[in-house]
Amino acid sequence: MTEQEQFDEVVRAGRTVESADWMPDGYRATLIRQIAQHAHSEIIGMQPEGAWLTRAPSLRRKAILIAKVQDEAGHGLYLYGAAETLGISRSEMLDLLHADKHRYAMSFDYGVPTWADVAALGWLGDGAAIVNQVPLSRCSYGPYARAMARVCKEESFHQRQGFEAMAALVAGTDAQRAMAQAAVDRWWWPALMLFGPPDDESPRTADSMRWGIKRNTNDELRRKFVDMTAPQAEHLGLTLPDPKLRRRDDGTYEFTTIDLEEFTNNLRGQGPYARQRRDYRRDAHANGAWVREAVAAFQARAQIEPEVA
Amino acid sequence: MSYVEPLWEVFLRADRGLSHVHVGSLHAPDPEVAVLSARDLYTRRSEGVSLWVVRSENIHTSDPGKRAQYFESAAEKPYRHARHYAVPEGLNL
Amino acid sequence: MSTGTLVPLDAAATTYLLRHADDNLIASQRLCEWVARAPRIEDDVALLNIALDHLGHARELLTAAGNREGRGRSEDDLAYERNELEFSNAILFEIPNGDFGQTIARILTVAAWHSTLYRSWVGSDCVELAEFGPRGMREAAYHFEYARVWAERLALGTDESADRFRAGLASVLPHIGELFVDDAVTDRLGAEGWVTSPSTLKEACIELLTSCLGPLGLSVGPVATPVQTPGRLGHHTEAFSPMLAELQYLRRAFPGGSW
Repeated sequence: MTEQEQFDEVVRAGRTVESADWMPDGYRATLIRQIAQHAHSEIIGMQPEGAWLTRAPSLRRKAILIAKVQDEAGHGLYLYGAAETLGISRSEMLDLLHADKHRYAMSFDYGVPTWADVAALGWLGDGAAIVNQVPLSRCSYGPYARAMARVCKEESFHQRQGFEAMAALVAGTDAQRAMAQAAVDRWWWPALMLFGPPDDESPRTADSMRWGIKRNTNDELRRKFVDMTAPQAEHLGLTLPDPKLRRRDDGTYEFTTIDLEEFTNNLRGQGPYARQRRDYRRDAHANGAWVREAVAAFQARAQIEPEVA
Repeated sequence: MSYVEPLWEVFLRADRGLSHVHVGSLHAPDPEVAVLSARDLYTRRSEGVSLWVVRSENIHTSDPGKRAQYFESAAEKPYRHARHYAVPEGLNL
Repeated sequence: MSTGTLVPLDAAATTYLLRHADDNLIASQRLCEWVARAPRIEDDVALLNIALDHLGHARELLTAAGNREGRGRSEDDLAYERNELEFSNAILFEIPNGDFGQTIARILTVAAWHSTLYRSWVGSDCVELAEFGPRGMREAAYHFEYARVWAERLALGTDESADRFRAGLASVLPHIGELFVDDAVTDRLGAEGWVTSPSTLKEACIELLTSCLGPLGLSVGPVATPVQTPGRLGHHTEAFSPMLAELQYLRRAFPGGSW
């Protein structure tokens, strides 16, 4: 068998490709980009919610949010680690992010102006992310699949805490209910956009599915998310901002597809808060340079000096 | 030009566990920072653990690139767990 | 320094618990400001871990204080409904984070204090303190270790990192004197055998700090015992007010709200 045949057989049989195995250049390049951008999403995602740590409305909510944001940093690290097995370093990936050459989940280019947005981001944003991520834990590339398995286990509380925070708001005062509904109106479409372009606008899907990176198409996962989430919204007494949303007899939902123009705009890095998120990230990295230099200097000195018994 | 922190493999044993299990890897400049990072990254949901960190280059294996399964045990912070949250009946959450 | 008035035991215990709860609450609040800004992503995880530990301590101590007080105030009532004059955290905890060097200097100092303080609570006849002591010690020891490792790398890294760490220490250390002041509250609890007087804890705390700083060619310097304890008396710095506003405004903006 040639290397290509061996690779094809591993993917066909549903086994994992590991970092030392031969793989097509396109497979490697696609994975590097996808995993790195997934990692960047976790890191950028810390910003909008992180801003609310100092303002959380109860100590329990504060603790939950700190734990969630901490998890996100940790997930970023697992994912950068998975990408590194493919031959790219973390600093190269960060350089690509800082140079606007890599993207991240576009939902974080939207604003989180109220506490209800924090809840909505958790309920809808993390809800969508989980639907995307569960199949990824079965993807053909071993290190990515295993990183995703760990992420999924930790992420399940992220969505539930968002739902619970929403439920608390709708059970509260009229002003809180209004705040909750306004946030849902803002967050529904960004959550749907997390699944990527519609299938007929997604040229990369075919390769990704053939390689076992993607197990479902964008629209399959988007439909799954809507079917799961619409009843949750009904339970909360909140409306989703889609006039065409309608439950069919079989329990699935009809809905309006995403606005392709807005989606493309976001892809170009022109979402409402894109500039702010990236600048914040670049500044944080620049401000930390002196610390990283100190680490390097200390390490260099430690290597020159003999170990003390 | 950036300094690259070397890669370490992390092994964890729970209080009631019998042996250390590989849970993942991390970057750190030296052993002291590696142990602290490992504790932060891999024991958020575990209690009473023993941690080993080993430079990846010092691990010699017949199967390079393979990683062992992840480890999870009792939580100190219940809100990290999905089952801590009330889920209305019949909802697929 | 004691006064002639005998403070009722419950009131003294409540005040004491509230002081240390407030220290932890404000410590947590300051560390939350570091989110997504740490020099390495690993430090985002570590700083938030310390913030979460402090918050956990605050919640336990606030709840204990509310129970002792017996007026039905919950942890959230205490955290969100009190005004500046009612907060009794020491000034050390409320000064701004500054840069990473100053932040590490403060984490080190606080951890040295808390390690010493919580150790003194182990075996106390005051049940809340005895229960808290061991866990508090464990977590403070971890914070100290984290800060010690970073103090070493900053002090012995580059000229810039050494300067910044030294400057950070210079901003933080002048405030530790307030921690060691005895007053009517600690005298009353001391007389009951429930707590060790803060002045007695001073030496062990400074020794712990010196164990880290000494090998780095740094020292704690002279620690003056202030006559007044501004933070403990609710007299806070200018930086306190905007921080408190940020902490409290959302809950206060929705009276009777459900969260």
